[in-house]
Amino acid sequence: MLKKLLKYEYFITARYFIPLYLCFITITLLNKLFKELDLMQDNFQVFDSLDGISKELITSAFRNLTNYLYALFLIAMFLLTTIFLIYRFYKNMTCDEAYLQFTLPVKPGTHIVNKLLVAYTWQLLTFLLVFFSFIVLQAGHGVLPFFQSLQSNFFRLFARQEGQALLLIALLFLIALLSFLSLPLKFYMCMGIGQLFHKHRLLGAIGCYMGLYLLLRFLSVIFFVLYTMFILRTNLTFRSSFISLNIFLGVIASFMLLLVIGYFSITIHLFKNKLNLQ
Amino acid sequence: MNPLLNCVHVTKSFGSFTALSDLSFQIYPGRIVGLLGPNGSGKSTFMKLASGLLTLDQGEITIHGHAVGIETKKIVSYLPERTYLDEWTKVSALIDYFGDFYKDFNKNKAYEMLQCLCVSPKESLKTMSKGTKEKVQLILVMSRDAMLYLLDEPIGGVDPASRDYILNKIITNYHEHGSILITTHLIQDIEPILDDVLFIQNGQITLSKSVDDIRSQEGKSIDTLFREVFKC
Repeated sequence: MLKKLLKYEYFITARYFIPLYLCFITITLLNKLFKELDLMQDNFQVFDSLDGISKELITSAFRNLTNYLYALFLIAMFLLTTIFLIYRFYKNMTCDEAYLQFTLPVKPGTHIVNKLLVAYTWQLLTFLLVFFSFIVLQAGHGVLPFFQSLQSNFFRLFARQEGQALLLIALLFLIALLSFLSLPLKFYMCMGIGQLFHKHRLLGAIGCYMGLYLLLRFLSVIFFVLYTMFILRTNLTFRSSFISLNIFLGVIASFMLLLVIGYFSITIHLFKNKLNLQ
Repeated sequence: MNPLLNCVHVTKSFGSFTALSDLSFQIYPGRIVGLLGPNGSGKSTFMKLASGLLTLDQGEITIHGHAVGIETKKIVSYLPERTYLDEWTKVSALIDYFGDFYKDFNKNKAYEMLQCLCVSPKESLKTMSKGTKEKVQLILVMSRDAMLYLLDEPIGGVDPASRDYILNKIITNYHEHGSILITTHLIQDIEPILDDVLFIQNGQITLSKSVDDIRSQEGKSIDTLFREVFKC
């Protein structure tokens, strides 16, 4: 059943994401085009008939416009990805469409896994698209040397601590993976709690999210204070070693893993045992 | 004979409001049952409980011997009183969707009904009137070969000519092992096809009889009796 749900979920959510991605790719390519035109304006004969000021105005104006649009779309990509995914879950799992979803012969847990996998996919695609847009914009202007220099500096920094370097990379990947899971799950859980309210369900979900956000911020401040106190009391060698950094990231990753498991369990429990469609 | 649907001491509250209070009744196979009552009496609440869209506070509902869950969802075809389909999806895609998830879904039957009711499978729900959307939903539900049909206001927004067709389809879907539970306010239209009637008020069953018994004992139609019983 999960495969069938995934098939339809990807198809329906693609309606939101494909146009967004196409717009972003277009803006990226236009930005690249006008950036190159601006840099190579002296090479184009079409500009020969214009005086210096006019030439500058035309090429820079387009470049600035596309820069501005690119920055706007960059923010929109991440913002709209999150909004689309939350809206999709809200509409499909707590509003009228939920009448269909929860009368299908499918376990509530399967529905949650379906939504989560699709959310993870689109978040990852958004991230990769943005990353590659940076590459495209910088292509021909030292992208490859930049990454080569980054790699050699990284491993020089971790000289004789290759194990710690690899652990650091693994932990960063794990944290990125967990953040792609915890973000939608947090919203799903809050919407699950919100649907328990007889009135003002949406407000209930928002209130739950705000409460959770404040609690997590409070816990993270406590953690940072305690960790800083711990580090200040340890010897300099340990402090400056990458072991302490990896311990720090390891604690964060463990906490995020616990949060993901917690959000997931609570969400399934709510939709399985406490379903309360209006 | 074992009941197909067994509702035992079911209670459901929403905060301080009790929607269903110690509700108990049975539906036997091969019966078309009308669940009739005034607005807010608990009809839709019961339908949602039997479909698994709400959780019970107390009591038990079993369908074909199973508690409400995955096994009952395979054999129950539920039509809610609202539009519950994605409005941007074409009717043909919805038919494929139902065919994918329900083993008892008959695509040929669905297309045949669409043709009879003059609904194009190539259109999306977004382009349709309210009544046509309701027809599409009803077609999808009635195209399943389910053991129990739960129809919440199936003909409310549909034109009179289509109502006759739908009511005829409800009868032809009848088989000796399956049953149909219908809620409606259009009692005159539905009365000819009903076998049994349940009157519900304030979350409790106030009458549970066969249509024949009501007519012979009360000497009235169901519609007339309803108006008397629930007179404001």
